[in-house]
Amino acid sequence: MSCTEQNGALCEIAPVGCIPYEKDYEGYWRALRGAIEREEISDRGAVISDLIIDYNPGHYTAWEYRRKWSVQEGLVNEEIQYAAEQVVSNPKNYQVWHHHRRLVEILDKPVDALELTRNSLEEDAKNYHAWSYRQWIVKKFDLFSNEHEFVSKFIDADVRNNSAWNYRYFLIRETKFGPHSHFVEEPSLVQETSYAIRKSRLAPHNESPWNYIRALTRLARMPLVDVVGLVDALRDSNPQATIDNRFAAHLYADILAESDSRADKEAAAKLFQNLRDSDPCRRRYWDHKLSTIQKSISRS
Amino acid sequence: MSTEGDHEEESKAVGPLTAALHREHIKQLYEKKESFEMYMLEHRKISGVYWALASLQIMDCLDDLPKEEIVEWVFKTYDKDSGGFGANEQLDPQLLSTLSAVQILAIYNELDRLDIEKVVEYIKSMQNEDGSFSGDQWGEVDTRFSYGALLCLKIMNRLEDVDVDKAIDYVLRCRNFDGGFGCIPGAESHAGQIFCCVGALALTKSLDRIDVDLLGWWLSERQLPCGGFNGRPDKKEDVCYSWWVLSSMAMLGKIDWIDREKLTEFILQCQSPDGGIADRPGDIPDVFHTFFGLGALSLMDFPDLKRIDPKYALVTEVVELIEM
Repeated sequence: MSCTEQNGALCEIAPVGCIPYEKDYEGYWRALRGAIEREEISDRGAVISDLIIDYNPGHYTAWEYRRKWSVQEGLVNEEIQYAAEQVVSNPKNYQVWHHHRRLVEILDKPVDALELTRNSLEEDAKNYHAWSYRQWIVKKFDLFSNEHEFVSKFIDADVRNNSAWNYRYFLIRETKFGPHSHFVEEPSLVQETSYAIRKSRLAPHNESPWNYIRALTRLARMPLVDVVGLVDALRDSNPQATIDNRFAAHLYADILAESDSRADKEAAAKLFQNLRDSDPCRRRYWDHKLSTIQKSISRS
Repeated sequence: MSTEGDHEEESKAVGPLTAALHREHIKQLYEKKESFEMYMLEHRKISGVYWALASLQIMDCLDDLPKEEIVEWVFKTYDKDSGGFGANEQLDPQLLSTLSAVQILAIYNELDRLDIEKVVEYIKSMQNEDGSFSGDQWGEVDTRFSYGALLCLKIMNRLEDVDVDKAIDYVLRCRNFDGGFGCIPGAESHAGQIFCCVGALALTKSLDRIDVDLLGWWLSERQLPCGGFNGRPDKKEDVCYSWWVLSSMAMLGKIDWIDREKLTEFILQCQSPDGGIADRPGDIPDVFHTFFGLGALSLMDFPDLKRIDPKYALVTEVVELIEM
């Protein structure tokens, strides 16, 4: 639509005596308010809402107007395309993602959601909205079959991508332990922990794989020390050099602390002391760990 | 080596808190009504006003802005049919806007101007079958709304008007393998969402249901070598996380598990020479980051600031009136 047509539309909708503004946000909002007050859901209103959203994609009333209009006109499929374009322009905005999701709910079909989230993540591999939307889509429509491969690509690209590790945990929990477990070949826990250990070697000073391993053991109700290869991997990570691998050293110390042997517990205490010395930022946390292990030593 | 946004140790001396400049910055923001930037903030204006007033109250200069004018404006955003407040005049009612409205009235000790029954009715209508809360009548669900709803009711002393057990059950479903919380079940742990979930649990005295040590450690790991906090592993520091992380730790009783001095230095470095606090040193300030920077300093007992209650995000003297 040309500027003139848009202004013509504004002139018709705006209250009598109101001067139409060219590309003026306040004018558009006044016009849309007028339409809403008259309970007018029209193409003209949709044009205005698009103009408002162009300036301000957080304008939730304009978004809701579009939802009503697209449903009334039977244009929900077209509106999903519009929503997808807005997601590309405004990837960190709540309202644009929510708009796409509402339309998917109305149609009760995933439409382009997998492609949309994939494209978004290729631009920004940690986009919070994209990951959580993809989780919702995959769970709602049972689309788990390629997701393991999908998330592995992101971890391969950046082993520190915590969002990807979180998604990987979501997949394991849903497919091995959840209601979708008959859909996918279950990657076993041994495979998953080996995977995490392998990945941890690429960047020992990285929270994500160590948290992942801890979580898997809790899910499987398995003691950490029983995870095949974990203790060796932790030892190889040179836990005394705690500046470079705080998370690995912490996990190693926790495993030693769980042991019945007094010698292991004392080794754990030494590690916590080392961590306290090399990580003064969190010294009170390490004090807490030290006092817990000292109590355990004195009881053993 | 770490890629956690390492910074060289700042060699310049850290200046004081330039409170007078922040006051001036907030006053100017308020007075600048007809500007392009203000229109862009339209969809959350009422929250902006709350952040401004809460900042001023922490600095003990609430009278800098005109109380009656603001309270009158707040009621222009009120939708008497639903009982909710919108982010601005003639915008649809929303739960978080309703919370901001109620917080503003609490700050001004004008809660009795509310039609409390109606507002309670609005919030009740936002609770879903599974205990979660929607942000508006169109249904978006997020743990932010659980916190918003529970806090709003708590301020009005009407917490029991919703199904609190179900509300907390939903929040607990959003707990993750690392001890943190996300926006919906399974979503990645994020400091902002954690603040909302820990706040919801604290307000309903349900903190005993989570692993406080595990979450406390995850939160302490948000502190980067520069002293600032990030919101999740391997992301950049931002002043707003000073609030989300620190208030969560305060509610968990683990505020000692971080380096206060380094955080204080970081926040002070984020002050703009023209007033206001920015997300990072040298960036443009805004009222959102100004409030969160001041809030975090208050939690650390920074001198000449009023104490803020982490659960309510309101100063303690306001909370005392509420809890009376």
